Amino acid sequence: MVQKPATRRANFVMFIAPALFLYALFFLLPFGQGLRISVTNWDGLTPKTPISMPKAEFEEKILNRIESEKDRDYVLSIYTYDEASGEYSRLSIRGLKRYRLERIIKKVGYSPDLYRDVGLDNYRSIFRGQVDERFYPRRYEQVNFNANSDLPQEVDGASYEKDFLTKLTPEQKDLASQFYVKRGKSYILAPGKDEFNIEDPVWMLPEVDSGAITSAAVDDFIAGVKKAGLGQNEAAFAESKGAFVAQGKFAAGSLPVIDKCAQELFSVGKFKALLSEKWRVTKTDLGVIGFTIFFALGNVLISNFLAFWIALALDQKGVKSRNVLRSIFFMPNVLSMVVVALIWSFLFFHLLPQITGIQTWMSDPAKAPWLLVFVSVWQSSGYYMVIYLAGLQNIPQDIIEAAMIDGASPRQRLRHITLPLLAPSFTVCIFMSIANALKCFDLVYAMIGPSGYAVGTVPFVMDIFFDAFARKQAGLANAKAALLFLTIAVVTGLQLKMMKKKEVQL
Amino acid sequence: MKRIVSLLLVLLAFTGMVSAQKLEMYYYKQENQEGLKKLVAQFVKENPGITIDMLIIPNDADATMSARAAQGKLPDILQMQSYSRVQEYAEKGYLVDLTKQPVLGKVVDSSKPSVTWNNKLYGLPMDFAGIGIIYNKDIFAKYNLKVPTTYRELDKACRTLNEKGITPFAGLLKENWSMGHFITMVHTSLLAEKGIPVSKFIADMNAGKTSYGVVDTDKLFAVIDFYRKNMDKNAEEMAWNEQVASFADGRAAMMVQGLWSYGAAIGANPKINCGFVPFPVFNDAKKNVFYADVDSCFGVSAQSSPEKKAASLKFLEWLATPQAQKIWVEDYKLTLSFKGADVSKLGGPFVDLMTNVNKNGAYPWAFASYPTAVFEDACKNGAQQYVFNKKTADEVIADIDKQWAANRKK
Amino acid sequence: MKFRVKPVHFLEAFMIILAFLYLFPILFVFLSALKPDAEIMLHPLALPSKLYLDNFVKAWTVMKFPKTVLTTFLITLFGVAGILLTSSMAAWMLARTNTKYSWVLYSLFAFALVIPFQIIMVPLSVLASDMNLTNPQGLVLLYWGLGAPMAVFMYHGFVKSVPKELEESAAIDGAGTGYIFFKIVLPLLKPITVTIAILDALWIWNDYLLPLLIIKQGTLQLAQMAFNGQFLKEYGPLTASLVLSALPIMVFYLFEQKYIIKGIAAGAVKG
Repeated sequence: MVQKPATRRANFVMFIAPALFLYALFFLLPFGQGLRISVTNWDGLTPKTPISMPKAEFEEKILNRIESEKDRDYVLSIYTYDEASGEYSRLSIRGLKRYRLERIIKKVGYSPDLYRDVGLDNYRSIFRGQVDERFYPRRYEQVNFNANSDLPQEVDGASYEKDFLTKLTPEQKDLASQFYVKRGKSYILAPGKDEFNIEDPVWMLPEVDSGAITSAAVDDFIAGVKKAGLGQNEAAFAESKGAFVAQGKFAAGSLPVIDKCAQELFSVGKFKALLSEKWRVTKTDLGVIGFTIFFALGNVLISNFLAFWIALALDQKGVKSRNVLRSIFFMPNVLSMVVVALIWSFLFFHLLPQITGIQTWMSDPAKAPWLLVFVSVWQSSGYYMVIYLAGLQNIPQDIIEAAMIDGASPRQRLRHITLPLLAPSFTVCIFMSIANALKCFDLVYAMIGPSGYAVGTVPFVMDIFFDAFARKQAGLANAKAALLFLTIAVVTGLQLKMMKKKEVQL
Repeated sequence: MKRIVSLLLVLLAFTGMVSAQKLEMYYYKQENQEGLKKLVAQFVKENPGITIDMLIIPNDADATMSARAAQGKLPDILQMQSYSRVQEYAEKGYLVDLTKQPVLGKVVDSSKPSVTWNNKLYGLPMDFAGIGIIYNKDIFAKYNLKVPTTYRELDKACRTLNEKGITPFAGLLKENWSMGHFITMVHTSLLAEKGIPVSKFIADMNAGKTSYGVVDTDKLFAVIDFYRKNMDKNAEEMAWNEQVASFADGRAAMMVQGLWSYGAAIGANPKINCGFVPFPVFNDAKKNVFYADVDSCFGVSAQSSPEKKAASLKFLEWLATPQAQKIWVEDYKLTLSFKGADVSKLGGPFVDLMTNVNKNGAYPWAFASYPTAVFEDACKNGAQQYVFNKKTADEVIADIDKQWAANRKK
Repeated sequence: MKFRVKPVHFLEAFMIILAFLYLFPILFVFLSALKPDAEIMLHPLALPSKLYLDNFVKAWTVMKFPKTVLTTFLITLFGVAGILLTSSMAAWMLARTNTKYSWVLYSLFAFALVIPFQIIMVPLSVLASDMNLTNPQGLVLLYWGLGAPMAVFMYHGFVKSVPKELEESAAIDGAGTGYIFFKIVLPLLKPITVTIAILDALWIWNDYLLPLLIIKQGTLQLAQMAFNGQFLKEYGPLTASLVLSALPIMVFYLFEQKYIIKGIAAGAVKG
């Protein structure tokens, strides 16, 4: 038009430059640096250039290898030699000074042990399944009883019946029934089979009580007999018992007591071995990858469904409290994630058990993932609701009225008018919910933290966080981050492409 | 555009948010922050030229400190966990060598290994802490229970308590650190049973010459199972707050904790009457001693300016003055590592600790010498996963070995 | 006329119940703030037995509330203002020029929507330190950069829904680009501007990690941490501090919320 191309270009640059510059500087540059770190073995703490180094080492590895005089002077202007400690050291340096120093030191071929280029090793180990097993979905065997521990006084009835008793032969069942008796929802250990009670008479023996026989000897005897019992190893049993009795300081009356205790412990061992071997359940651990997918899917589906449904309801004519309700549904967005996590943790611990009588919630691997999805949906659905509501209000009233005159039922109107016209809202909401769910960190971190590994609720970003800071593998963390980014970009990219195509067709 | 930006910046500057030159001190013991604030206030009053900006980072401490180290701007004074944290930061050159500082001459010699790296001292050891069983004396008296000195007596006490409907141990399984302490401490006892000194064990682990399973692991996990069995039913849901509440309310008779938890319990219930005994792993009472060691220390950043370093060192020197020690004991409410320190005002459990340690000695906090990644992940998460039946005993040990091999200290 | 119960009334009743579920945790915070710690533990759901304001007193003094709230307010204000200004300019220009570059640049902005913050955290904090930006002013600048992607994304969508004719006729009349943008376009962008302002204000006000890394202390979220320890949680003062720090932003939201629908709708749906 009136403007010359040069002016237009200048305007283009002037308008875009501030945002683009800041964005590139504070977002793209650090992201690029992250990629750079992903091909190193950095531990997250080692400085690229040494803070202090013994004189000889410093001269040999760095100083004597610098070719340019100017560079050497520069290095010596930063590092000072301290006679007392015999070390070269430097204070904190920043900005361009630091970059220059790093460049010089890199040129001489020095790199700290824990800040070295390792090429694509980090990526390779992720794809080859070599990083921690908790990262990948896996099957594992849950062992409900450790044979080396004493039999518990009480066991959970449901699991004991389902996962143990049903697997037994009739004789084994017979054996089991001598040990555990059903009471209410639990099974209780028969007092005569309680190892503490069985051992008690030996501890009460006058020889032991007076200290003539050391407690270490008693411990050895009991441990030996128990161990022999687990394998029903008669020879080992005789040996343990023999060694104890051979201490030779026992009165005649004590020997039957020892014998009885040993026999009983030995026989208990048979059941303990059985319990440990059979009371196992094969379980699935979603791992970091699995949980992230579960969390994202749950979030996208539930929050969008709920948000859409609430929007639809609020859009009905005759809902008088619409504005108030709208504000309320959006309200959780106003709170920070840390606050949200804190409130819900408190409620899950204090309130849910009181209402339901069920004690475990966030610590139950079967419930925790759902609770996390629930809280996340609670927080985010209001936001999506607003988008759907806006989309609904953009639908021209005359189209709906025309459909009503044509005799379309509410269901038909929803299916053939509302849904197609709402397609752009769906596209945006689903895009945002996928990206946000895959990026989720704060909420789960504040609600579960590192215990997530025990419950199986560690999202991808949290795993990255622990890699970088708890496990000191910043390089690997950055490699995982790059892969996560790629995944989100591909998934949302595909989603946008597919849904935009649909939108056009409609 | 530029003018607008500078206008905004000027406006911001006018609001007085630009800080003057001052020291920055990082601390993580949020539960004792009031006492520390008092100490700093007193120091600043006596030294008008210095101000100290206190920075608390109770959560995300590792992440924030890593970021600060990467920035090259660690706080001038750092409160750190003893052993590994100190060694790690010292190894990378972040800490000032304090070996020749006069104040280090005033601490008891036994506390020095906790801040030593490469034969030099890099921190001022401060609170000497013990972990054991904090028990409710009134409950024990009411049911006529003997204070346990052996594993068997402990078992017996737990049985009686269970019969009376009282939870033996207040539970804490929602956070992984407590089980991390527990497994490594029992492990330390079992090392002693085998006659292996902790320092040798750590060196051998670092050299790849031994396994974490060198001790009686059957016993190790049997003790863990015993401990779990006697906790609150919903211990998996309970964090530290809930543990302290359960103990302070008298629902539970004991908690296996450090004395920092005693402060919290007495805060929640001033009337509670507590004692402190070692957790008895063995049936031989003589072998059951406290796990006691230097918990935290103060270090000085090597990258601060010389003036700031001098001021920071002045603060460390000042901590040894009688006045500072008095505030430390009375307001910070922890013991300290200075020679001849008087801790009698700290209350019964602290006296129990000091008397017992002086008489019977103590096991060190071996976990503080593990590579941090091993303790943070393999031990804490491993023990928790064992309790959640997610890992078997063998897997926990194998994991610790594996992670240790990957994080060997030189 | 007699009142008749219609299906829509059931629907409304149901929605009100649902809304209560949404609101309940927030009410719970307000209730707890008015109780001593012991009462919170014993009767988490009960009404406060008597008016108890000590939590607020403690939270107020420990957080140094007036100063902290002012700092947070200024950071939020300047942060949001800068994002709005730079992003609206960029987005308008990108939406109005139909070249390959503008599409590439727009995609570049949208790209950041899928990057988790924790990934750039450490490099960003090092960069900020190198540029001497570890102060409130620097934090504000960082927010301008970090807030750009979302704001450009939403402005871009909205601008596309605004008719071009007005701008074109102004241009024919000889108006400069600056004049056109600030006098003609910007007023038209008000709904989306308010929306982005609300969303970014919520974000900056509630942000924890970035201020922790950059200025370490001084904002409300950071000050709250005095009560929210790794180990020790003082629920009473903590909830009081939550109420104190959330109230200003809630009031702001409630006053401005009628714009939010218009804005989000226009910005998001047509994006």
